[in-house]
Amino acid sequence: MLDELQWPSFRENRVVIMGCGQIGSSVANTMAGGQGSVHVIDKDPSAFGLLPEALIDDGRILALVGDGTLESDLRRANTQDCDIFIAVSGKDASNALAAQIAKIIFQVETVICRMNDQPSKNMYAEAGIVAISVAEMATNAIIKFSGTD
Amino acid sequence: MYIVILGAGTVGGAIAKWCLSLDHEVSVIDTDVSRCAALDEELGSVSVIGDGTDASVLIRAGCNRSDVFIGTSGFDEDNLVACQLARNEFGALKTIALVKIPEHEGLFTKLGIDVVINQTDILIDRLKGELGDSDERMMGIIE
Repeated sequence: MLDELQWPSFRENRVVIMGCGQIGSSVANTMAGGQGSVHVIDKDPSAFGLLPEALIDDGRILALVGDGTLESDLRRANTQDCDIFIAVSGKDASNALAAQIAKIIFQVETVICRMNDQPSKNMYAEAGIVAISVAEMATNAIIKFSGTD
Repeated sequence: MYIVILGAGTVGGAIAKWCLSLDHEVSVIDTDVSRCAALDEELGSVSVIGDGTDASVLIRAGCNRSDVFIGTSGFDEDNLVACQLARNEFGALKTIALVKIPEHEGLFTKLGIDVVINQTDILIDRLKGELGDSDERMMGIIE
């Protein structure tokens, strides 16, 4: 098995997640265990169905309908005050735009962005954005498990 | 000059045609196969099928020797990423992006795009010219 990842419950980070798909909802769910705040922004309100209702009800996750490629909507999600911004929508170009707004306009300390294209990843890394490729991570995991036992 | 255009729609196609009439060399990138075919039929083989936010597609379109890159797709974010790749990874000398969302005009300029053309505000300005921006003038036109 992959190492069990746990978000420490004492962490007090203010997190904003753009895109409430499989990844965004899973990250929100995990990080909602901490002491900070978790905002999730998605254009499609039905996407929030992936979030555990209990966490929304008790305010641990704040779901917000909006366009994460708009500075004005990101501001409504308190991106200007967050510590970690995570762009994990299904479209890489939208993630790249949202991540740059977070990093360059709002100067968010940690910005993580889902992206497949390697040259793009390198380019945005220079701007201080951490770009991760889901396909690459899945491939690495498969190779790892294929080689052992 | 060598000009690479993202988007083989009405706007991209018209820009390509204009550039060719000025004897520039042109490549047009679009994911839509039938749009590319229609453009090739009209202008000769200028199209490259693929996603212009993907560096490998930009290489196929000859971006590494391009002078100007113009993003005309219907998605602001695609125009931004393609322009940034063209400039930072492939050395395009000038990047031009069309945007639909007005607040992207200032933003894209901050993000390093040389020229940002805000289609929506151009349209609004034209409408103001026709209709005026006061109720009275507008009523005058209708009456």
